[in-house]
Amino acid sequence: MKIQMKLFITITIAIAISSNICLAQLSDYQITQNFKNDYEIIKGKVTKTMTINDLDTLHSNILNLQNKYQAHDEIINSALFPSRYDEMMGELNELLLSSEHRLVLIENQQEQISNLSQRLTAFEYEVDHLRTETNKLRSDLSKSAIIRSDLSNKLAEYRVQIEKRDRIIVTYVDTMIKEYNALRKQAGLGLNELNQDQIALNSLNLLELIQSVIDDHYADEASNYQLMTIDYIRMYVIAQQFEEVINQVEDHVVGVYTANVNTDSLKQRLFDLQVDLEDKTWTSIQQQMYAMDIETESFYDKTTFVKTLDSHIQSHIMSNEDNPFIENQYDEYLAFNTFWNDVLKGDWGVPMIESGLISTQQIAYLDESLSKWYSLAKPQSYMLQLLAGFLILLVISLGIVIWKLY
Amino acid sequence: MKNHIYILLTLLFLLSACNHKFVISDVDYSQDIESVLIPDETGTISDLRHGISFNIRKLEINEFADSTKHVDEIRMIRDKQGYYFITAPLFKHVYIFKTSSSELKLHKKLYIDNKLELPVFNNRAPYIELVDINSDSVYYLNNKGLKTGGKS
Repeated sequence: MKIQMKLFITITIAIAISSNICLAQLSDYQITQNFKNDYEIIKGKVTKTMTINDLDTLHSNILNLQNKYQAHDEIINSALFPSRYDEMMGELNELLLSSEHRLVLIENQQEQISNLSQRLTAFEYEVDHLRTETNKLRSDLSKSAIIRSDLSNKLAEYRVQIEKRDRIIVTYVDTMIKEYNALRKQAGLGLNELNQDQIALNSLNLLELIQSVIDDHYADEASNYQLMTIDYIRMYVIAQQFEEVINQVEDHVVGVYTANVNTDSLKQRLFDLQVDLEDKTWTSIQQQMYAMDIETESFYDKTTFVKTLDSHIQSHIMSNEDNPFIENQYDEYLAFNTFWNDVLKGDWGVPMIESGLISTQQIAYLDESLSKWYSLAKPQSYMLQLLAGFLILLVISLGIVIWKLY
Repeated sequence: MKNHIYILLTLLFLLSACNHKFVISDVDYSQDIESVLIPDETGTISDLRHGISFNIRKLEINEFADSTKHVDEIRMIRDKQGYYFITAPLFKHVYIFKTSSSELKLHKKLYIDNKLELPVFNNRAPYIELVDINSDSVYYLNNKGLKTGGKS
Protein backbone atom coordinates (compact mmCIF):
# COMPACT_ATOMS: atom_id res chain seq x y z
CA MET A 1 0.00 0.00 0.00
CA LYS A 2 2.84 2.34 0.92
CA ILE A 3 4.64 1.52 -2.30
CA GLN A 4 1.49 2.22 -4.29
CA MET A 5 1.08 5.55 -2.51
CA LYS A 6 4.68 6.61 -3.26
CA LEU A 7 4.28 5.55 -6.88
CA PHE A 8 1.12 7.62 -7.17
CA ILE A 9 2.80 10.71 -5.72
CA THR A 10 5.84 10.30 -7.97
CA ILE A 11 3.66 9.92 -11.07
CA THR A 12 1.59 12.94 -10.06
CA ILE A 13 4.71 15.07 -9.62
CA ALA A 14 6.12 13.79 -12.90
CA ILE A 15 2.92 14.64 -14.76
CA ALA A 16 2.77 18.03 -13.14
CA ILE A 17 6.38 18.74 -14.04
CA SER A 18 6.12 17.44 -17.61
CA SER A 19 2.92 19.40 -18.24
CA ASN A 20 4.70 22.53 -17.19
CA ILE A 21 7.79 21.95 -19.28
CA CYS A 22 6.12 23.44 -22.29
CA LEU A 23 5.45 26.58 -20.23
CA ALA A 24 8.90 26.47 -18.68
CA GLN A 25 10.08 29.62 -20.36
CA LEU A 26 7.08 31.60 -19.31
CA SER A 27 6.73 33.87 -16.34
CA ASP A 28 3.21 34.51 -15.08
CA TYR A 29 4.31 37.99 -14.16
CA GLN A 30 5.60 38.57 -17.68
CA ILE A 31 2.38 37.25 -19.21
CA THR A 32 0.35 39.75 -17.24
CA GLN A 33 2.76 42.56 -18.07
CA ASN A 34 2.62 41.65 -21.78
CA PHE A 35 -1.15 41.53 -21.64
CA LYS A 36 -1.27 44.93 -19.98
CA ASN A 37 1.06 46.45 -22.58
CA ASP A 38 -0.72 44.86 -25.56
CA TYR A 39 -4.07 45.93 -24.11
CA GLU A 40 -2.96 49.54 -23.62
CA ILE A 41 -1.48 49.72 -27.12
CA ILE A 42 -4.69 48.45 -28.73
CA LYS A 43 -6.81 50.68 -26.48
CA GLY A 44 -4.71 53.69 -27.50
CA LYS A 45 -5.12 52.82 -31.16
CA VAL A 46 -8.89 52.37 -30.78
CA THR A 47 -9.17 55.74 -29.05
CA LYS A 48 -7.07 57.59 -31.58
CA THR A 49 -8.20 55.90 -34.76
CA MET A 50 -9.35 58.37 -37.38
CA THR A 51 -10.56 56.18 -40.23
CA ILE A 52 -13.24 53.54 -40.46
CA ASN A 53 -10.84 51.30 -42.43
CA ASP A 54 -8.58 51.00 -39.35
CA LEU A 55 -11.45 49.55 -37.34
CA ASP A 56 -11.29 46.16 -39.13
CA THR A 57 -7.61 45.82 -38.28
CA LEU A 58 -8.29 46.82 -34.69
CA HIS A 59 -11.13 44.33 -34.47
CA SER A 60 -8.79 41.52 -35.52
CA ASN A 61 -6.14 42.85 -33.09
CA ILE A 62 -8.67 42.50 -30.28
CA LEU A 63 -9.54 38.98 -31.36
CA ASN A 64 -5.84 38.07 -31.43
CA LEU A 65 -5.39 39.56 -27.97
CA GLN A 66 -8.32 37.50 -26.76
CA ASN A 67 -6.97 34.28 -28.33
CA LYS A 68 -3.52 34.92 -26.93
CA TYR A 69 -4.51 35.60 -23.34
CA GLN A 70 -7.82 33.77 -22.83
CA ALA A 71 -5.98 30.80 -21.34
CA HIS A 72 -4.27 33.05 -18.78
CA ASP A 73 -7.41 34.84 -17.60
CA GLU A 74 -7.08 33.62 -14.01
CA ILE A 75 -3.49 34.81 -13.71
CA ILE A 76 -4.46 38.14 -15.24
CA ASN A 77 -7.41 38.47 -12.85
CA SER A 78 -5.06 37.89 -9.90
CA ALA A 79 -2.36 40.20 -11.16
CA LEU A 80 -4.58 43.07 -12.23
CA PHE A 81 -7.10 42.88 -9.41
CA PRO A 82 -9.55 44.69 -9.06
CA SER A 83 -9.65 44.74 -12.88
CA ARG A 84 -10.84 41.53 -14.49
CA TYR A 85 -9.84 40.06 -17.80
CA ASP A 86 -13.43 39.61 -19.06
CA GLU A 87 -14.39 43.15 -18.07
CA MET A 88 -11.29 44.61 -19.69
CA MET A 89 -11.97 42.80 -22.95
CA GLY A 90 -15.62 43.87 -22.76
CA GLU A 91 -14.55 47.49 -22.29
CA LEU A 92 -12.21 47.23 -25.25
CA ASN A 93 -14.98 45.89 -27.48
CA GLU A 94 -17.34 48.64 -26.28
CA LEU A 95 -14.66 51.22 -26.95
CA LEU A 96 -14.29 49.86 -30.46
CA LEU A 97 -18.04 50.15 -30.98
CA SER A 98 -18.16 53.71 -29.68
CA SER A 99 -15.16 54.62 -31.86
CA GLU A 100 -17.00 53.20 -34.84
CA HIS A 101 -20.02 55.29 -33.94
CA ARG A 102 -17.83 58.37 -33.47
CA LEU A 103 -16.09 57.85 -36.81
CA VAL A 104 -19.38 57.40 -38.64
CA LEU A 105 -20.57 60.61 -37.03
CA ILE A 106 -17.37 62.46 -37.93
CA GLU A 107 -17.56 61.22 -41.51
CA ASN A 108 -21.14 62.41 -41.65
CA GLN A 109 -20.16 65.78 -40.23
CA GLN A 110 -17.30 66.09 -42.67
CA GLU A 111 -19.78 65.54 -45.44
CA GLN A 112 -22.08 68.20 -44.00
CA ILE A 113 -19.19 70.63 -43.57
CA SER A 114 -17.99 70.06 -47.09
CA ASN A 115 -21.56 70.60 -48.25
CA LEU A 116 -21.69 73.85 -46.30
CA SER A 117 -18.35 74.93 -47.73
CA GLN A 118 -19.60 74.30 -51.25
CA ARG A 119 -22.73 76.27 -50.59
CA LEU A 120 -20.74 79.07 -49.05
CA THR A 121 -18.53 79.22 -52.12
CA ALA A 122 -21.56 79.28 -54.41
CA PHE A 123 -23.13 81.93 -52.28
CA GLU A 124 -19.96 84.03 -52.24
CA TYR A 125 -19.95 83.83 -55.98
CA GLU A 126 -23.54 85.02 -56.12
CA VAL A 127 -22.85 87.88 -53.71
CA ASP A 128 -19.78 88.86 -55.72
CA HIS A 129 -21.89 88.92 -58.82
CA LEU A 130 -24.53 91.07 -57.14
CA ARG A 131 -21.85 93.32 -55.74
CA THR A 132 -20.40 93.82 -59.19
CA GLU A 133 -23.84 94.66 -60.47
CA THR A 134 -24.41 97.08 -57.61
CA ASN A 135 -21.06 98.74 -58.14
CA LYS A 136 -21.80 99.07 -61.82
CA LEU A 137 -25.16 100.65 -61.06
CA ARG A 138 -23.56 102.96 -58.52
CA SER A 139 -21.07 104.06 -61.12
CA ASP A 140 -23.84 104.39 -63.71
CA LEU A 141 -25.74 106.57 -61.28
CA SER A 142 -22.77 108.88 -60.96
CA LYS A 143 -22.45 109.12 -64.69
CA SER A 144 -26.11 109.59 -65.30
CA ALA A 145 -26.59 112.19 -62.62
CA ILE A 146 -26.79 114.75 -65.35
CA ILE A 147 -29.31 112.78 -67.33
CA ARG A 148 -32.28 113.35 -65.09
CA SER A 149 -34.71 111.21 -66.99
CA ASP A 150 -32.52 108.15 -66.62
CA LEU A 151 -31.71 108.80 -62.99
CA SER A 152 -34.96 107.63 -61.39
CA ASN A 153 -34.94 104.36 -63.34
CA LYS A 154 -31.36 103.68 -62.39
CA LEU A 155 -32.05 104.55 -58.78
CA ALA A 156 -35.00 102.20 -58.63
CA GLU A 157 -32.95 99.43 -60.20
CA TYR A 158 -30.11 100.11 -57.78
CA ARG A 159 -32.41 99.88 -54.79
CA VAL A 160 -33.97 96.64 -56.04
CA GLN A 161 -30.50 95.22 -56.51
CA ILE A 162 -29.22 96.00 -53.01
CA GLU A 163 -32.48 94.81 -51.54
CA LYS A 164 -32.11 91.52 -53.39
CA ARG A 165 -28.51 91.18 -52.23
CA ASP A 166 -29.41 91.86 -48.61
CA ARG A 167 -32.34 89.44 -48.70
CA ILE A 168 -30.08 86.67 -49.99
CA ILE A 169 -27.51 87.43 -47.32
CA VAL A 170 -30.05 87.31 -44.51
CA THR A 171 -31.55 84.05 -45.74
CA TYR A 172 -28.16 82.50 -46.16
CA VAL A 173 -26.85 83.64 -42.80
CA ASP A 174 -29.98 82.23 -41.15
CA THR A 175 -29.45 78.86 -42.81
CA MET A 176 -25.76 78.81 -41.95
CA ILE A 177 -26.38 79.58 -38.31
CA LYS A 178 -29.02 76.87 -38.03
CA GLU A 179 -26.67 74.32 -39.55
CA TYR A 180 -23.73 75.41 -37.40
CA ASN A 181 -25.88 75.10 -34.32
CA ALA A 182 -26.94 71.61 -35.38
CA LEU A 183 -23.28 70.67 -35.91
CA ARG A 184 -22.29 72.17 -32.59
CA LYS A 185 -25.01 70.14 -30.82
CA GLN A 186 -23.46 67.01 -32.30
CA ALA A 187 -20.05 68.15 -31.10
CA GLY A 188 -20.70 66.58 -27.71
CA LEU A 189 -20.85 63.22 -29.49
CA GLY A 190 -17.37 63.71 -30.89
CA LEU A 191 -16.22 66.39 -33.27
CA ASN A 192 -12.64 65.82 -34.18
CA GLU A 193 -10.13 68.64 -34.49
CA LEU A 194 -10.22 68.52 -38.26
CA ASN A 195 -13.98 69.15 -38.31
CA GLN A 196 -13.65 71.93 -35.76
CA ASP A 197 -10.97 73.57 -37.88
CA GLN A 198 -13.20 73.32 -40.91
CA ILE A 199 -16.08 74.89 -39.00
CA ALA A 200 -13.69 77.60 -37.85
CA LEU A 201 -12.58 78.28 -41.40
CA ASN A 202 -16.16 78.36 -42.62
CA SER A 203 -17.00 80.73 -39.77
CA LEU A 204 -14.06 82.85 -40.80
CA ASN A 205 -15.33 82.94 -44.37
CA LEU A 206 -18.71 83.98 -43.04
CA LEU A 207 -17.12 86.81 -41.04
CA GLU A 208 -15.15 87.93 -44.10
CA LEU A 209 -18.37 87.96 -46.03
CA ILE A 210 -20.08 89.98 -43.30
CA GLN A 211 -17.20 92.41 -43.31
CA SER A 212 -17.49 92.89 -47.05
CA VAL A 213 -21.26 93.48 -46.77
CA ILE A 214 -20.65 96.03 -44.01
CA ASP A 215 -18.18 97.77 -46.31
CA ASP A 216 -20.88 97.81 -49.00
CA HIS A 217 -23.37 99.26 -46.56
CA TYR A 218 -20.91 101.99 -45.65
CA ALA A 219 -20.49 102.70 -49.34
CA ASP A 220 -24.27 102.74 -49.87
CA GLU A 221 -24.71 105.03 -46.94
CA ALA A 222 -21.96 107.35 -48.03
CA SER A 223 -23.25 107.55 -51.59
CA ASN A 224 -24.98 110.71 -52.60
CA TYR A 225 -28.13 108.94 -53.70
CA GLN A 226 -31.15 109.49 -51.61
CA LEU A 227 -31.68 106.24 -49.72
CA MET A 228 -35.19 105.83 -48.40
CA THR A 229 -36.27 105.11 -44.83
CA ILE A 230 -36.95 101.48 -45.63
CA ASP A 231 -33.36 101.14 -46.90
CA TYR A 232 -31.95 102.34 -43.59
CA ILE A 233 -34.28 100.10 -41.60
CA ARG A 234 -33.38 97.09 -43.74
CA MET A 235 -29.67 97.78 -43.35
CA TYR A 236 -30.18 98.18 -39.61
CA VAL A 237 -31.92 94.77 -39.42
CA ILE A 238 -29.06 93.15 -41.29
CA ALA A 239 -26.50 94.80 -39.03
CA GLN A 240 -28.33 93.37 -36.01
CA GLN A 241 -28.38 89.90 -37.52
CA PHE A 242 -24.68 90.17 -38.29
CA GLU A 243 -24.00 91.07 -34.70
CA GLU A 244 -25.78 87.89 -33.64
CA VAL A 245 -23.80 85.84 -36.16
CA ILE A 246 -20.49 87.28 -35.00
CA ASN A 247 -21.33 86.49 -31.39
CA GLN A 248 -22.20 82.93 -32.33
CA VAL A 249 -19.23 82.12 -34.54
CA GLU A 250 -16.44 84.12 -32.90
CA ASP A 251 -15.68 81.25 -30.47
CA HIS A 252 -14.88 79.03 -33.44
CA VAL A 253 -12.34 81.37 -34.92
CA VAL A 254 -10.38 81.97 -31.72
CA GLY A 255 -6.97 80.46 -32.20
CA VAL A 256 -7.44 80.04 -35.91
CA TYR A 257 -5.90 82.27 -38.53
CA THR A 258 -7.59 85.61 -38.04
CA ALA A 259 -5.38 87.96 -40.01
CA ASN A 260 -8.17 88.72 -42.48
CA VAL A 261 -10.85 89.34 -39.89
CA ASN A 262 -10.42 90.78 -36.46
CA THR A 263 -13.69 90.08 -34.64
CA ASP A 264 -13.22 92.94 -32.17
CA SER A 265 -12.70 95.57 -34.82
CA LEU A 266 -15.47 94.02 -36.89
CA LYS A 267 -17.85 94.28 -33.92
CA GLN A 268 -16.83 97.89 -33.33
CA ARG A 269 -17.33 98.73 -36.98
CA LEU A 270 -20.72 97.05 -36.90
CA PHE A 271 -21.68 98.95 -33.76
CA ASP A 272 -20.71 102.25 -35.37
CA LEU A 273 -22.72 101.34 -38.46
CA GLN A 274 -25.76 100.48 -36.31
CA VAL A 275 -25.57 103.81 -34.46
CA ASP A 276 -25.23 105.67 -37.74
CA LEU A 277 -28.06 103.76 -39.39
CA GLU A 278 -30.38 104.31 -36.43
CA ASP A 279 -29.70 108.07 -36.56
CA LYS A 280 -30.39 108.17 -40.26
CA THR A 281 -33.54 106.08 -39.82
CA TRP A 282 -35.05 108.58 -37.35
CA THR A 283 -34.04 111.56 -39.48
CA SER A 284 -35.54 109.92 -42.52
CA ILE A 285 -38.78 109.08 -40.70
CA GLN A 286 -39.05 112.69 -39.51
CA GLN A 287 -38.52 113.95 -43.04
CA GLN A 288 -41.21 111.60 -44.28
CA MET A 289 -43.60 112.97 -41.64
CA TYR A 290 -42.84 116.57 -42.63
CA ALA A 291 -43.47 115.63 -46.22
CA MET A 292 -46.89 114.38 -45.15
CA ASP A 293 -47.65 117.64 -43.27
CA ILE A 294 -47.29 116.06 -39.84
CA GLU A 295 -45.49 118.33 -37.48
CA THR A 296 -44.06 116.73 -34.38
CA GLU A 297 -41.27 117.33 -31.95
CA SER A 298 -37.97 115.85 -33.04
CA PHE A 299 -36.98 112.32 -31.96
CA TYR A 300 -33.63 110.60 -31.99
CA ASP A 301 -34.15 107.06 -30.62
CA LYS A 302 -36.84 104.40 -30.21
CA THR A 303 -38.04 105.76 -26.86
CA THR A 304 -38.38 109.38 -27.99
CA PHE A 305 -39.93 108.21 -31.27
CA VAL A 306 -42.84 106.42 -29.58
CA LYS A 307 -43.13 109.19 -26.99
CA THR A 308 -43.32 111.84 -29.74
CA LEU A 309 -46.01 109.95 -31.67
CA ASP A 310 -47.99 109.41 -28.49
CA SER A 311 -47.76 113.02 -27.37
CA HIS A 312 -48.75 114.13 -30.90
CA ILE A 313 -51.88 111.98 -30.74
CA GLN A 314 -52.66 112.90 -27.12
CA SER A 315 -52.33 116.64 -27.77
CA HIS A 316 -54.81 116.35 -30.64
CA ILE A 317 -57.19 114.31 -28.50
CA MET A 318 -57.03 116.93 -25.78
CA SER A 319 -57.58 119.88 -28.08
CA ASN A 320 -60.47 118.04 -29.77
CA GLU A 321 -62.05 117.38 -26.41
CA ASP A 322 -61.65 121.06 -25.43
CA ASN A 323 -62.98 122.38 -28.70
CA PRO A 324 -64.76 119.95 -31.02
CA PHE A 325 -65.06 122.53 -33.81
CA ILE A 326 -61.37 123.12 -34.53
CA GLU A 327 -60.75 123.66 -38.18
CA ASN A 328 -58.90 120.95 -40.18
CA GLN A 329 -58.90 118.56 -37.27
CA TYR A 330 -60.11 115.69 -39.43
CA ASP A 331 -57.49 116.45 -42.12
CA GLU A 332 -54.78 116.31 -39.52
CA TYR A 333 -56.10 113.02 -38.32
CA LEU A 334 -56.24 111.66 -41.87
CA ALA A 335 -52.64 112.71 -42.58
CA PHE A 336 -51.40 111.02 -39.43
CA ASN A 337 -53.57 107.97 -40.03
CA THR A 338 -52.10 107.55 -43.54
CA PHE A 339 -48.59 107.87 -42.18
CA TRP A 340 -49.26 105.47 -39.35
CA ASN A 341 -51.23 102.76 -41.13
CA ASP A 342 -50.02 102.93 -44.72
CA VAL A 343 -46.42 104.00 -44.36
CA LEU A 344 -45.15 103.00 -40.94
CA LYS A 345 -47.15 99.84 -40.38
CA GLY A 346 -47.65 98.95 -44.03
CA ASP A 347 -44.24 99.63 -45.54
CA TRP A 348 -41.86 99.58 -42.61
CA GLY A 349 -43.76 97.59 -39.97
CA VAL A 350 -42.18 94.14 -40.31
CA PRO A 351 -38.52 95.22 -40.41
CA MET A 352 -39.12 97.83 -37.69
CA ILE A 353 -40.59 95.22 -35.34
CA GLU A 354 -37.90 92.72 -36.34
CA SER A 355 -35.17 95.20 -35.51
CA GLY A 356 -36.79 96.30 -32.27
CA LEU A 357 -37.22 99.91 -33.40
CA ILE A 358 -40.82 99.59 -32.30
CA SER A 359 -42.66 96.81 -30.50
CA THR A 360 -46.04 95.26 -31.22
CA GLN A 361 -47.24 96.43 -27.78
CA GLN A 362 -46.32 100.01 -28.63
CA ILE A 363 -48.12 99.70 -31.97
CA ALA A 364 -51.24 98.34 -30.23
CA TYR A 365 -51.14 101.18 -27.71
CA LEU A 366 -50.81 103.86 -30.41
CA ASP A 367 -53.57 102.17 -32.46
CA GLU A 368 -55.89 102.51 -29.50
CA SER A 369 -54.97 106.18 -29.00
CA LEU A 370 -55.50 106.80 -32.70
CA SER A 371 -58.99 105.27 -32.52
CA LYS A 372 -59.82 107.67 -29.73
CA TRP A 373 -58.51 110.57 -31.81
CA TYR A 374 -60.67 109.41 -34.73
CA SER A 375 -63.79 109.23 -32.59
CA LEU A 376 -63.25 112.85 -31.58
CA ALA A 377 -62.04 114.20 -34.93
CA LYS A 378 -64.54 112.57 -37.25
CA PRO A 379 -67.02 115.02 -38.85
CA GLN A 380 -70.37 115.23 -37.01
CA SER A 381 -73.73 115.05 -38.87
CA TYR A 382 -76.33 117.93 -38.15
CA MET A 383 -79.01 116.67 -40.53
CA LEU A 384 -81.31 115.33 -37.79
CA GLN A 385 -81.15 118.56 -35.80
CA LEU A 386 -81.96 120.62 -38.95
CA LEU A 387 -84.85 118.30 -39.80
CA ALA A 388 -86.27 118.59 -36.28
CA GLY A 389 -86.00 122.42 -36.41
CA PHE A 390 -87.67 122.46 -39.79
CA LEU A 391 -90.53 120.31 -38.50
CA ILE A 392 -91.02 122.59 -35.47
CA LEU A 393 -91.10 125.67 -37.73
CA LEU A 394 -93.58 123.90 -40.01
CA VAL A 395 -95.85 123.03 -37.10
CA ILE A 396 -95.68 126.63 -35.77
CA SER A 397 -96.39 128.05 -39.26
CA LEU A 398 -99.32 125.70 -39.73
CA GLY A 399 -100.63 126.69 -36.27
CA ILE A 400 -100.47 130.43 -37.14
CA VAL A 401 -102.19 129.84 -40.51
CA ILE A 402 -104.98 127.80 -38.93
CA TRP A 403 -105.44 130.38 -36.10
CA LYS A 404 -105.70 133.23 -38.65
CA LEU A 405 -108.21 131.33 -40.75
CA TYR A 406 -110.53 130.73 -37.79
CA MET B 1 -7.11 16.46 51.89
CA LYS B 2 -9.57 15.24 49.27
CA ASN B 3 -11.14 18.68 49.22
CA HIS B 4 -7.75 20.26 48.62
CA ILE B 5 -7.16 17.99 45.68
CA TYR B 6 -10.54 18.98 44.16
CA ILE B 7 -9.78 22.67 44.61
CA LEU B 8 -6.34 22.24 43.03
CA LEU B 9 -7.81 20.36 40.07
CA THR B 10 -10.47 23.03 39.53
CA LEU B 11 -7.81 25.76 39.61
CA LEU B 12 -5.64 23.85 37.14
CA PHE B 13 -8.59 23.44 34.80
CA LEU B 14 -9.41 27.14 34.95
CA LEU B 15 -5.78 28.11 34.33
CA SER B 16 -5.51 25.82 31.34
CA ALA B 17 -8.73 27.32 29.92
CA CYS B 18 -7.31 30.83 30.27
CA ASN B 19 -4.04 29.93 28.52
CA HIS B 20 -5.76 28.23 25.57
CA LYS B 21 -4.71 30.00 22.25
CA PHE B 22 -7.30 31.06 19.76
CA VAL B 23 -6.15 29.82 16.33
CA ILE B 24 -7.54 30.13 12.80
CA SER B 25 -6.18 27.31 10.75
CA ASP B 26 -5.91 26.54 6.99
CA VAL B 27 -4.81 30.05 6.12
CA ASP B 28 -3.58 30.39 2.54
CA TYR B 29 -0.84 33.02 2.27
CA SER B 30 0.08 32.23 -1.33
CA GLN B 31 0.64 34.88 -3.97
CA ASP B 32 -0.66 33.95 -7.43
CA ILE B 33 1.88 36.14 -9.15
CA GLU B 34 5.40 36.94 -8.05
CA SER B 35 6.29 40.49 -7.10
CA VAL B 36 9.00 42.19 -9.12
CA LEU B 37 10.36 44.93 -6.91
CA ILE B 38 12.84 47.69 -7.69
CA PRO B 39 14.99 48.76 -4.73
CA ASP B 40 15.43 52.48 -4.10
CA GLU B 41 18.84 54.12 -3.55
CA THR B 42 18.90 52.90 0.06
CA GLY B 43 18.10 49.34 -0.99
CA THR B 44 14.55 49.38 0.33
CA ILE B 45 11.88 47.56 -1.61
CA SER B 46 8.16 48.09 -1.10
CA ASP B 47 5.43 45.76 -2.25
CA LEU B 48 2.38 47.94 -1.84
CA ARG B 49 0.05 45.31 -3.24
CA HIS B 50 1.01 42.70 -0.62
CA GLY B 51 1.89 45.14 2.12
CA ILE B 52 5.52 44.41 2.84
CA SER B 53 8.63 46.60 2.81
CA PHE B 54 12.22 45.84 3.84
CA ASN B 55 15.85 46.58 3.01
CA ILE B 56 17.77 44.13 0.83
CA ARG B 57 21.31 45.31 1.54
CA LYS B 58 21.93 42.46 4.00
CA LEU B 59 20.63 39.99 1.41
CA GLU B 60 22.98 41.38 -1.25
CA ILE B 61 25.98 41.18 1.09
CA ASN B 62 25.00 37.67 2.02
CA GLU B 63 24.76 36.67 -1.65
CA PHE B 64 27.73 38.50 -3.15
CA ALA B 65 29.92 38.90 -0.08
CA ASP B 66 30.54 42.35 -1.46
CA SER B 67 28.81 45.48 -0.13
CA THR B 68 29.31 47.36 -3.39
CA LYS B 69 27.33 44.92 -5.52
CA HIS B 70 23.67 45.70 -5.89
CA VAL B 71 20.80 44.20 -7.83
CA ASP B 72 18.36 46.07 -10.05
CA GLU B 73 15.31 44.07 -9.06
CA ILE B 74 14.12 41.46 -6.60
CA ARG B 75 11.79 38.58 -7.42
CA MET B 76 9.64 37.51 -4.52
CA ILE B 77 6.72 35.13 -4.07
CA ARG B 78 4.95 33.66 -1.05
CA ASP B 79 3.75 30.09 -0.71
CA LYS B 80 0.64 28.78 0.93
CA GLN B 81 2.32 28.38 4.32
CA GLY B 82 3.49 31.98 4.23
CA TYR B 83 7.18 31.46 3.41
CA TYR B 84 8.76 34.11 1.23
CA PHE B 85 10.93 32.91 -1.68
CA ILE B 86 13.35 35.61 -2.78
CA THR B 87 15.96 35.72 -5.49
CA ALA B 88 17.35 38.14 -8.03
CA PRO B 89 19.23 38.14 -11.34
CA LEU B 90 22.84 36.93 -10.90
CA PHE B 91 21.98 35.26 -7.57
CA LYS B 92 23.07 31.68 -7.09
CA HIS B 93 20.59 31.10 -4.31
CA VAL B 94 16.96 31.27 -3.51
CA TYR B 95 16.33 32.54 -0.01
CA ILE B 96 13.36 31.21 1.88
CA PHE B 97 12.22 33.38 4.76
CA LYS B 98 9.60 32.94 7.37
CA THR B 99 7.94 35.89 8.97
CA SER B 100 8.31 36.96 12.54
CA SER B 101 7.46 40.14 14.40
CA SER B 102 8.96 42.89 12.19
CA GLU B 103 11.44 40.37 10.89
CA LEU B 104 12.11 37.98 8.07
CA LYS B 105 14.05 35.02 9.40
CA LEU B 106 16.08 32.92 7.01
CA HIS B 107 14.49 29.52 6.91
CA LYS B 108 16.54 28.02 4.09
CA LYS B 109 19.08 29.15 1.55
CA LEU B 110 18.85 27.01 -1.57
CA TYR B 111 21.85 26.78 -3.82
CA ILE B 112 21.03 26.72 -7.54
CA ASP B 113 23.69 24.97 -9.58
CA ASN B 114 23.62 27.52 -12.36
CA LYS B 115 23.90 31.22 -11.75
CA LEU B 116 20.45 32.67 -12.32
CA GLU B 117 20.61 35.10 -15.22
CA LEU B 118 16.96 35.99 -15.38
CA PRO B 119 15.02 34.16 -12.66
CA VAL B 120 11.25 34.24 -12.36
CA PHE B 121 8.87 32.60 -9.89
CA ASN B 122 5.53 31.06 -10.72
CA ASN B 123 3.07 29.66 -8.24
CA ARG B 124 2.51 26.03 -9.17
CA ALA B 125 0.90 24.81 -5.95
CA PRO B 126 1.97 22.87 -4.02
CA TYR B 127 5.34 24.01 -5.42
CA ILE B 128 6.94 27.28 -6.33
CA GLU B 129 8.35 27.10 -9.82
CA LEU B 130 11.67 28.83 -10.42
CA VAL B 131 12.49 29.42 -14.08
CA ASP B 132 15.68 30.87 -15.42
CA ILE B 133 14.44 32.38 -18.66
CA ASN B 134 17.90 32.60 -20.22
CA SER B 135 18.93 29.00 -19.63
CA ASP B 136 15.42 27.50 -19.79
CA SER B 137 16.12 25.77 -16.45
CA VAL B 138 13.10 24.94 -14.33
CA TYR B 139 13.20 24.09 -10.63
CA TYR B 140 10.43 23.16 -8.22
CA LEU B 141 10.78 24.35 -4.67
CA ASN B 142 8.92 24.30 -1.41
CA ASN B 143 9.83 25.50 2.05
CA LYS B 144 11.68 22.24 2.67
CA GLY B 145 14.01 22.73 -0.23
CA LEU B 146 14.59 22.04 -3.90
CA LYS B 147 12.44 19.19 -5.23
CA THR B 148 13.67 18.85 -8.79
CA GLY B 149 16.15 20.42 -11.12
CA GLY B 150 18.96 21.27 -8.72
CA LYS B 151 20.55 20.55 -5.44
CA SER B 152 19.76 22.06 -2.12
